[in-house]
Amino acid sequence: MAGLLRKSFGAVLLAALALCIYLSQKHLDSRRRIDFIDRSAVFLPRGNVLKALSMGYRGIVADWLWIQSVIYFGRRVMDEENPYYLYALYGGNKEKIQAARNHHEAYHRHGEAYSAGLHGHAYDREHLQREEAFLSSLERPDSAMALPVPPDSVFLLDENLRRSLYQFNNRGLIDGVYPLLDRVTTVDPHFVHPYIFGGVYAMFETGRLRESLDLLEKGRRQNPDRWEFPFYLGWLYWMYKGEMQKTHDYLIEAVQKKGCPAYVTSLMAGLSKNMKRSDFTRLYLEGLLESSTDPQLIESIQNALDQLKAFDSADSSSKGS
Amino acid sequence: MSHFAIQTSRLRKVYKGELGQKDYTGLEGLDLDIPAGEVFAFLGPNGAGKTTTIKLLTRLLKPSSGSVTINGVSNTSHHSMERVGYLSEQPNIYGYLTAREFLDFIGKLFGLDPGVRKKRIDGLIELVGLKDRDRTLIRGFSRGMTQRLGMAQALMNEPDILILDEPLSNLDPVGRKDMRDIILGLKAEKKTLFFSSHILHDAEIVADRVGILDHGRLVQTGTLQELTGSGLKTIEIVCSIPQAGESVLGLNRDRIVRQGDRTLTWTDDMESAQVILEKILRSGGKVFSVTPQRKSLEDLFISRIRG
Amino acid sequence: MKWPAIASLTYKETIRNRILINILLFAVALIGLSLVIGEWSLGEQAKVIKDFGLSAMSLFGLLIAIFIGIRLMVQELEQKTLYLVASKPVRRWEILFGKFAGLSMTLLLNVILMLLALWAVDWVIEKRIDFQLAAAVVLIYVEILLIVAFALFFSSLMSPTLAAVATLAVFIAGHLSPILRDYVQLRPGTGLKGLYMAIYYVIPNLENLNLKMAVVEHLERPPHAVEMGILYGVLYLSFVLIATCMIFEKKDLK
Repeated sequence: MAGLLRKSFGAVLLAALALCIYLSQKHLDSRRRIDFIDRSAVFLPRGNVLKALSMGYRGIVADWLWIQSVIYFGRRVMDEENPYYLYALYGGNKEKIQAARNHHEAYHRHGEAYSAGLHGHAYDREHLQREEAFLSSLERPDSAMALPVPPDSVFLLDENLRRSLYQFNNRGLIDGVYPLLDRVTTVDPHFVHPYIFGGVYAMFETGRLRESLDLLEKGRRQNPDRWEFPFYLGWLYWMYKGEMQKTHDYLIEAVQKKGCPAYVTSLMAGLSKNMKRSDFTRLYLEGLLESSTDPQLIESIQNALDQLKAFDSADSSSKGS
Repeated sequence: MSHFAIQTSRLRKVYKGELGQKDYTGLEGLDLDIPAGEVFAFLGPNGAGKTTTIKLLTRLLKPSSGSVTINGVSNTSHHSMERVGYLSEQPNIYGYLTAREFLDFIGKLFGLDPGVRKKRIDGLIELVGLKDRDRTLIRGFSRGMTQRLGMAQALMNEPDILILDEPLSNLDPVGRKDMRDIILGLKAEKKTLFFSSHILHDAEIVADRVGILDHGRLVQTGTLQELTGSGLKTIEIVCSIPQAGESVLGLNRDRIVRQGDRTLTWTDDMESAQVILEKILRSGGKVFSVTPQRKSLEDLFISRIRG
Repeated sequence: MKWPAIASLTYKETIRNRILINILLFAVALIGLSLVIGEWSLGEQAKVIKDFGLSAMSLFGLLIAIFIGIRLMVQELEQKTLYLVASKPVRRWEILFGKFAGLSMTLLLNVILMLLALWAVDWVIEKRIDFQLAAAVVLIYVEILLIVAFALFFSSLMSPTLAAVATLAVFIAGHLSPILRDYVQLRPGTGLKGLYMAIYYVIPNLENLNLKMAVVEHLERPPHAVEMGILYGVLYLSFVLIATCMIFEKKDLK
C-alpha cells in the first residue's frame, strides 16, 4: 500500500513539475528579445586564424559560419518578411504595415495552400507584433555608425524611404555579410555557394560591387575548374559596369570549364556575334583546341565552336534568304 | 514483537533474462526462521544462491515475491537495517578515504553523534587490528586489511544481528584466525549471526544451525548434530604387519592401503575395530594409530548435493 | 536526513579526483589563452576574452558532467562499493541526491575559481571588473547542474558509454531546440507544428540558460531573464533528479 502511495505521489510530482517547466518556457519565450544589433559576427578573428583554429573540423566550422552569414543577412535583407524592413518602409505607420503584412500573408498562404493543398492555418501574429513593439521602443541610431547608402540601389526613389533605409541600414549593417563570407571562404575555399551568394544575391541587397567582385575573384582563384565564377564575374561586369569586353573574356573562360551549361555557351556565342568578335573568338578557341590534350576541355571547346558556327550560319542563312 | 531476528517467507528472486535469454531463478521460495542469538551458517556451492539471499536480506535486491522481516520489521523499510551489521563478500571500500574517514561516514549513516562515533572508531580500529594503518588511504590496503575494515564497519552500530557473506574466505591464516576470534566473541555476546560460507570447516566450529542451499533451494536445515548424526563414519587404523598377515587378519582387499612398511585399513564400527586390533597384535604387528573419523559436514554436503 | 553525509563524502571524492583538476586547469588555461587570441581580432579584445572565458566554462561543465557525473554512480555499482552504503538505514533517494549535491558543491567551487580567473584576465585588458559576467556564470552553473542530472539519469538506465553519448546528445539538442520554435513561428503553415512544438517543450531549452552573448555585448535583456532562467533550470533538473531517484529506488544492486 505504501508503495502504491509512494508511486502515485512521485507521478503527481513529476506531472506538476512538467507543467511548471512548460509554463516557464512559455513565459521565457514571450519575453524574448530579437538580438538584432549583433555586430558580433563581423568581429570574428581573421579568416586564416579561424582556419587554423578549426583544425580537423574545417568543414563544419565553414558550415557554421555560412549559417551565421545567412542568418545575419536574412535578418537584414529588405523584404516583407522582415518586420524591420516594413517598419522602415512605412515610417512606423501601423496601418500601412498591417496592410502590407496582410497582403504578403495572403499571398504567402495562397502560395502554400496551392502547393501543399492545406488550408487556413492560423498565422502566429504575436511574434511579429512583439518585434514591432520592440522596434518602436528603439532609440535613435548612433550617428557614429552612419554608413552611406549604396549608390547602386535602384529602388531608392522615395526620399522618406531613403531616410528610413538609411536608418535601417545603419542598424542593419547588412554589408557586414561580406567579411563573414570572406571568413567562410577562407576556412573552406571550395565551398562554392557562399561566393556566389555574396557575389550575386547579396549584391542585389547591398550594392557592394567591389566586395562582390573581390569575392568572386577569390572563388575563381581557388576553384579554377568551376564555370560559375567566370560566368558570374562576366555577369556582374555586364550588369553593373557595362564592360562588355571583360564580360566576353570571362564568358570565353567559362565555356571551357567542365559542366558549363549550354545556355552559357549560347550566350558566349551570341555575345561574340554582337560584339563582332566572332572571328577573333573562333581563332582563339581553335588555337586552344590544338594545344590541349584534356579530353573534357577538347569537348567543351568543340561545343563552343559548334555554337559559334550555328550562330554564324543562322545569321548567314537569314542574310542569304 | 517476534522473537525471530531474521525471518523470510517464501522469498523468491527471479532474474529477468536479457535479450532472448530465459529468466533465471536465483532463489526459490525460501523460508527461514532465525531466532535471536543463533549462529546460522548458510552453506552451498558457488552459484547456489547464498549471496542472492544475503542481498535480499540487506535490501540490495528487491524480492520477486515473498517477504523478509528483521526483528519483526519488514525490510522494505530502511529502518529495518538499524540494528544490522553487514559485511559483503570481498568488500570494496572507497580508496580515496582513510579507514577513520570511512568509519566516520558509516557512523553518520547510522545517525550517530560525533562523540559516539569517535569512541567507537577507536575501539573498532583496535579490535580489527588496523591501529597503525588507520590514517592511510584505503587505496593501499591489502585484501586482508580491507576485510578487517569491512568487519569494523559492520560493527559500527553495535548491531544485534550480523549478516556476513563469506567472512573467512580469501584471508591468510592469520587473518582467518583473527576473524574467527571476532566471530566467536560476537557469538559469546549472544548476537545473532547469519553467515554464508563454502568452507564447511568454519561452519562446523562456529554454527549452531546450518542450512544447505543448492540451485536456489534450501535442501536441508538443522543443527550439526541433527545433520551428521552420532556420526561415526569409520575407524582408521595405521599399523605395520607382515605381508602374509593380511589374509590372517581377514582384511578386505580393497580396504588396505600400503605405504612403505605402513598399512592403513579402516572399518565401520568399534567392535570390528577391536577385533582387528587384537589380530594385528597377536600376529606380531605394530599399531601406530587408531583414529575415529566422524561423519563430517563435507560428507553430508557432498551426499546432499550429489544426491 | 542522511544525504548530507553522502554529499560531503562525494565532495571529498570529487575534490580529490585528478580528472576534475585536469579539466579545471584546462579551462583556466583556455581563459588565459584568450589573451593571445584576443590580439587577433579586429579590436574588441575584451569581447573575445569574455566569449572565450564563458565558453570555456560551459565546455568545462559539459566535460565534467560526462566524465564525472556518469562515473559517480557507475563506479559505485561496478566496484560494488555501494553495497556497504545501500545496506545501511538510508533511503535510496538520499544516496542519489547526496551524490548530486556533493558534486554540485565541487562544481560551485570550480565555477567560482574560473570566474575569478576570467575577471583577472579581463582586468588585464579593461582595467575594470565586469560584474555582469556573474549573471551569465550563474546560468552556466545551472546548465552544468542540469547536464549532470541528465548524466546521472542516463547512467542509471544504460551502460556508461551509451549514457555519455545520450548526455552529449541532450546537450546538443538543448542548444538547437530554439530552432524548432523559430521555424514553426516563421513558417506558420507547416502541418507538423504541433509535433515540433511538443518536441521543443520536451527537450530542455538550454538557450534559456545562455546569456553569454547578451552579457558580453551588453545587449538588452528581457526583464528577470536571470531569475526565470534559474527557475526553468531548477524545475527541469528537479524533474530529472526525481525521475532518477524513482529508477534508483527500484534498482537491483547485483
